[in-house]
This record gives sequence, structure tokens and C-alpha cells, in this order.
Amino acid sequence: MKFVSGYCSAWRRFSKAAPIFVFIVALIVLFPARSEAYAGPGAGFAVLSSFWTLFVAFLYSLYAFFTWPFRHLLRLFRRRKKFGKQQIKRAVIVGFDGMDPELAERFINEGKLPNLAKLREHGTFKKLRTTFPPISPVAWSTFMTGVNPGKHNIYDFLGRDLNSYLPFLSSAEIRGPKRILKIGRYVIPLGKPTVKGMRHGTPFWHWLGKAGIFCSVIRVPVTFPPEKFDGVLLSGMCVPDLKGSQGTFCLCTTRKIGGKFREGGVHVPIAGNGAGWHSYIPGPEDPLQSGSGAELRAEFKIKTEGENQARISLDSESFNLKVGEYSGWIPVKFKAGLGFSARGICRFYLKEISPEVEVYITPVNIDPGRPDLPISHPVTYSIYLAKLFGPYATLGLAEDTWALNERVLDDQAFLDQCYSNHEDRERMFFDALEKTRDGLCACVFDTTDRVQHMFWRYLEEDHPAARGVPKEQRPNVIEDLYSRMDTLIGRVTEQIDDATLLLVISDHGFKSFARGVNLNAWLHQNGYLALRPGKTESGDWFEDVDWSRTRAYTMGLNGLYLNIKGREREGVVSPGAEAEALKDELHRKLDGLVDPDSGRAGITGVFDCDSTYAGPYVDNAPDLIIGYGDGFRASWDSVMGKVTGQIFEDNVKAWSGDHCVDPRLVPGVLFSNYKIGEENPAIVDVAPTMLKLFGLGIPAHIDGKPWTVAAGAAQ
Amino acid sequence: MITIVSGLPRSGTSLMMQMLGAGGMTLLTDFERKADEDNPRGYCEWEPAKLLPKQPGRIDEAEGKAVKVISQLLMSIPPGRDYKVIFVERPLPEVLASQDEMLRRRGTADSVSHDVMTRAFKKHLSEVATWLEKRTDVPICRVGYRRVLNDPVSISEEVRSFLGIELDVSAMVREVDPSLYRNRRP
Repeated sequence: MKFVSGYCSAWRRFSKAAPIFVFIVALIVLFPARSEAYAGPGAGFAVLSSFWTLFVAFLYSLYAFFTWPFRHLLRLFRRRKKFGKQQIKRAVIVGFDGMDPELAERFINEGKLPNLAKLREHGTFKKLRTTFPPISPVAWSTFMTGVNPGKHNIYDFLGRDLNSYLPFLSSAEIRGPKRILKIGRYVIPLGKPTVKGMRHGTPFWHWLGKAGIFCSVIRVPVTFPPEKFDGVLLSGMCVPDLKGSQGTFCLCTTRKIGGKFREGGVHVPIAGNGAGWHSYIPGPEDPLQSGSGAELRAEFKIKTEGENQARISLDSESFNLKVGEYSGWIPVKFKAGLGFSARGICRFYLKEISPEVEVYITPVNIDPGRPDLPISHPVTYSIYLAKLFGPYATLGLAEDTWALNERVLDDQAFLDQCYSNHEDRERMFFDALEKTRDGLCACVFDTTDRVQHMFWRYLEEDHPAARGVPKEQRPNVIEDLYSRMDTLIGRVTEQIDDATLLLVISDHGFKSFARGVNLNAWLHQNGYLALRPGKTESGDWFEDVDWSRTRAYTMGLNGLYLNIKGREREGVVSPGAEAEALKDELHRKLDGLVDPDSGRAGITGVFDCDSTYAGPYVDNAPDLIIGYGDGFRASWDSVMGKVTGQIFEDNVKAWSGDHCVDPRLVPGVLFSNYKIGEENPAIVDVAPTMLKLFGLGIPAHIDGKPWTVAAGAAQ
Repeated sequence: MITIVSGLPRSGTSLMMQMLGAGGMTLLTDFERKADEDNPRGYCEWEPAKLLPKQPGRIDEAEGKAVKVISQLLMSIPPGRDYKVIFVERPLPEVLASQDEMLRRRGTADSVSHDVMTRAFKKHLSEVATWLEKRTDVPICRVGYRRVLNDPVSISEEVRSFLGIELDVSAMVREVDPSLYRNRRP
């Protein structure tokens, strides 16, 4: 009732403001956006206040309460309709993104992972074949759907626009409202923005849910926007921040700003003096001035207190921070006019207060307690978790690797962030585990991936990113990481019985990233890619590329594309025989490409997508997948479509380990408390295996093959 | 069992039908559409397939045979039969180029841009895929047209294994003539 009266109070305030605004708000109210309203650049805005979110949540709770007996009976009825023999009552899938089998085996043999050792001894430990290419959104999409990328449409984090050659996020598309009302300089959205998932295929938990088997699914990548099914789900990788990006941090500083960050962050000036400082957090685009580039801002103040501490105030929040300390999650409100606003949460990290003042602010995450975008199914699930455990990171790539790459954060500050997020994830997972007494409980932990990306440099004596760091000063970050994950598995095994199947999997392994390969530079130097006259290098995203004389280009992590007539806007290569001949030629020349400095093969495999994929979305695939060798990866410039003069170069960034290489080099892990008979299991097999074990038939379109699993104590 | 060969127009469905025929399967065709320069070995089509939306029961005439049902008509096949679908996939730029060539030979020009056609075809293929996912009773074997030309032995063996019947793989392979790769440029 509190929500209803609050809503009425807001309505009366709007009514008094101006009759015309009442009319506009009435129009908007006719489009109840619930939490599907989106705040982000070019995509409109949260039209309704959070009263609607909570009001709808309240109504949903009433509905759930009163209909529970009927839904429970329906679930029981559906279970009886299942065919096949159900072999397990409960399954727990723990995903450690990027856990590497060679490292796991080494640490097990050294006695550092006692719980995984037990699984190896009494159950299963095998390598798990990954996808082509071995990138998380691709592999986890295959995990959940049981199909190859030709059927789920995810080939990389990015796709490319065939008209502009520019990148777009491959997993979700966010569009602004179709109708707007222009009043003077204001552009008022009249409708809901839409979020469309671009991943196709059906996650296996949908089939389980239909059969009345309850599923709790937490932070599996590429589950944004969340799809409806009979279970609960919290979206994972690819959930955007409030700006609509995959994570834009902010460094507020009194220092003179010289140049932009290469990736992922913005500088914001801090103004003022010793008596007090002020700055702002950049937010989403102003929806009322859509298209103008104007962004909303949330102002905050900083008052230094002593040599080591400051008090930070914004809106009604005020807190103290010591140098080298993170705040908790702070709510942030970005106000536009006419009662529009967007809410998020972020954390502050006080870097320095003397002689300069510097504050790092995480990307502004969607507030899980009052989400402006759908990040869970049902919509109340994220709110429930927030009420239970407090606010938590909702951003898909929550660990700010860019900030460490740009040296805005140091190693320890980054690790603190990672493990803080990890602890939140553990709490959610164990809550779901406790409440999912039978059915499926699946959770993916990203910490393993992020920490290995950023700290692999300390594993190798001569990694360019850690040259000059003596061995005794190199932290045992990765060993500690695996140990923590092992402890988590120990807690899981304590809480499950023998009738519960436990799978511990990873989507891919890891290798060193010591040398970058700029494939666009190679294509340029070998006559396949042309620049405008007078240019020897290009800007980002193919600036200065002459498409009329370019036959091939690369963008993203592993994809090479031909510039095909009738496909790309300025395509020059005829489809059919000419394209085939060019592909063969590139295949021959690139496979085994040697790094002249090291004498090692920078590329150990080139894969034709025609033979690799099958399905209705093969036309969106690259033409060739490049498999980089151990120690190599696409260079930072190459990923961003930049042509430079150098093909091979040292990678000196903190991001020093990677997996976007030849898939044959980076299988993932498969541990289980059961014996799994398959000799050469693949991640594509998990979905059909789950369906079979729960007694369901396997849909005909699924590519994976179910494993034989030694019967435990079932039912 | 009803074996259905499906795909977009100009995607290689006729070639697959010819391979199945050479391999020993009985084809349901009526030879109404004669062989021509665009398809020198014939289309292997069955005209009544066009009536499936209104007369879905006609599909029963294909029992024990292979029949070509173009992708636009595939969603009209009724449930309750034992189907196996071989879906031939060809890159859209090649499909469109092949269509352009066919229209050019016939003296008609296509007024719809490739951009529009590509979007329409992609949407259609996505709809067919979604439909096939729900039809858990319809096993499907997706076959790449280029792989048929480049590796006919593997493809023929895959098809034989998928259908679960005895087929003469050598005869199937002999049907593949790369010189019929129609939209090459000199």
C-alpha cells in the first residue's frame, strides 16, 4: 500500500506542475514499462519512476502467492509427462570461467587443490573441448543451447555492421522508443525502449522448466536480456552499465588531463581547492536531448580530512574513505527534466588526496534493487538478492580490467574488486543451492577468467609485461586463485549428497599473451587491405581504409572477413569461386605464420567457417577463424580495426594471459563427482547430457552428444 | 520415412536430390520443370509441394522417397510422420548472385536490392530454425553447399549415416560436378 500511496503522491505533484505535462505523463503511463525501461545512450530512458518497479513487484508477489498451489500441481503433472528414465534428481553446475586443465592438474599434483583432487580420484577429471573460437560468449552460448555457433549466432563479443564496417555488441540490441514527442528543444520518449537478445537457440533449462524441473541459473554469460522460463535467472556477461557500454570507469582527478584512455574509461576533472573539491560522475545520455550527445551528470563533493582520508557526498549519501579503500555500493541518481531519472550504483576508490586528489569510480551498474533494465527472471529475483545481501555488481564484465590495463588501479586494488564481487557471487550461489533441493542449480564465476587475464605475466619468467620484476616479488596470484576456487568446491561438496550430480566446468583454458599479432597490418603489407593514398597507418575502426581496394580485413578477436560484393557495402570480392580462391590463398599464407623475433608460429591454425559451422546463422560468421599460437593473440590495435606498420609486437599490458587462440590449445576443465564415460567430451555436450539425465528427450537440432554418466543414488 | 531436401531457392537442393537419386533413393518428382541452363541436370521438383500449405496431407505421397520442399514450404509439413530433413545451406551472397544470374538469363531484372533480400532471407531462415527447434520430431542434417562440392565423400557418408539407409556413396559422389558452380567469375 505504501507503494500505491507513494505513486499517487507523485501523480499529484505532476498534476500541479502543468496540465500539458499531465497529458504527456498520462500517455507514458499507458505504456507501463515495468523494469524494461532502459537508460542508455540513444536508447531512451527510464520513463516511469521506480514506484512502478516496486508496485509491479508487489503485484507479482501477490500473484505468485495465490497461484502457488495451482502452479505446483501443474509442475507435478508436467513431471509425470516426461519420458525416459530420470537418472538424477538434482544437478549442480559450477562454472569457473577460464579454469585451465594444465594449471589445475599441476596444482592438484602439488597438493594445493584437495577438493578437486578428490573429484579427480573418485569421479572425473578430463579436458573439455571448447568452441571455435574459444571466447566466453561463444562457448557459454554453446554450453546452454547444445548447438554450434551457426545455430546460436554468437561468434565473438562483437559483430560488424556490413554497411559501416563498425562493430556492434553481438549478444543484445538496444533500441530507443519508436515514438517521440518534440517540444522545443526537448525530445520526450513516448514508449518503451526495447532490448532484444541476439543469441538464438533454447537454453536447456527452458526444456527442464517446461517439464516441471526447477532451475536456478546465476550469471551464466549471454543471458541478457533474461528470457522467461520456469525457474529463476540472474543475467551475466554482456549486461551493460548505465551508459549502455560494457563498462566505462571514471577517473576524477585534479591532475591535468593529457589524452584519452585507450579503452574503457574517461577522465573527469576535479575542481576546487583545499577547502573543498567537486566533480561529477558521467551518466547516460540525456533522453530529453536525445542525439545531441549531452550526458547526464551526478555531482559529488570531496572534503579532505587529514592526510589519509576524505569525506565524499552526493545526493543524500555521505561517507568517509581512506586512501586505498573502496566504498560500498553507493546509489547514484541521474536527473533529467520532467521527472525523468535513471538510477544506478557504483563504488568509489580513493587513490590519492595529496598532493593531488584522485578518485576512481567503477562503471555505474544497474541497481539490482530497482533495475531500470531487466537483469533477472522473474524481475523480482535481482531485487530479492539485493534485499537479502545488499547491492551487488550487475555489470556483465564487473571486474574492471580496463582500469588495471590503463594503470588507473594497481594490482591490489583490482584484486580487491575481483574478490569482493566473487564473495557476493558465492553468497548468491549458496543461497540458490540451499533453495534448489531438486532440479538444477548453475552458477558461473568470472573471477578465474579476469584474474588469469591480468596476472598471467607473473607465471612466466620473461613475459614482456613483467620483465624486471624479480621472482621473489611476483605474487602467487593465480595459485591463490585456484586455491580459493578449490575451497569453494569443498563447501559445495559438503552441502550435496551422493544423489546430486556435480559438474565443475570451464568454457576454455588459458595461455600466455606475450606477443600481439596485427593481422590488419599483415593484410596491408601483403596487398589484401589498402589505405587511402598517402596513409601508412589507419585510425581505429578502419579509419582511412580504402574499401574499394580492400579484399580482406579483421576485426574482433579471431575473425577474418572477406570484403564480399553484395554482402559488405563496399565489397569487391565476388562470392563463389573468387571468394573461395581468396580464402584458400589466405589460409595457406597465414597458417603457420612465423614471428621473426621468436621464430615461433604466431598462427597455428586457420579454420574455414564453411566447414566449422552449420546452421541458419552461418552468414553472420567470419569467413576464417584465426587460431593464434601459444603466447600469441590478436594485438590490441588489430582488435579495434587499426592498421599499423608492425605485425608482431610485445604485449606489455597487465592483460597478459588470454584464450582467444587456436581452440585446440585451450580446452576447459570437466570435473565431476560421477564417472563420465565420454573420452573426449565437449562443452556442446553438456546440454543434451542434462536433458538425458533428467529423463527428457533430446531435441533433434542439438549438436552435442549426451555422455554416459555412472549412475549415482538417483531419485 | 519421408526424406525431405530443403533450403533456399538456388542453395543446392537440386544437387542433393540428384545425389540421393544416384545413391539409390526413389525421388518424388514430376519433371514438370525441365532442365535448363540454370540447372542442366534438372530441378527434381514435385509441383504438388506448392500445395502443402492447403493440403498438408499430400506429403504422404513421399513415404519411402525423397522429395524437395523448399524452405518457405517446410513449415507446412504436418506432424505425425517419420521425417528426416536434409537442409542445404549456401552463403547468401552466392544465393543472391545465382538468382541474379538466373533472372538475367531469363531477361528479367530483380528490382529488390540485395540488402533487402539478405535481411528477408536471414529473417526467414531464423523463423525456420525456430520452428525446427520446436519440432522435436523432425531430425535435421544441415549440409553446406560448398562442402558438398569440396568434400562430396564426407558429405555423402554423413547423409547416408543420417538417413540410416544403404546408399551408394560412390554414385552420389560422381553426381557432384564442380564445373556446375554457377556463379563463378572468369
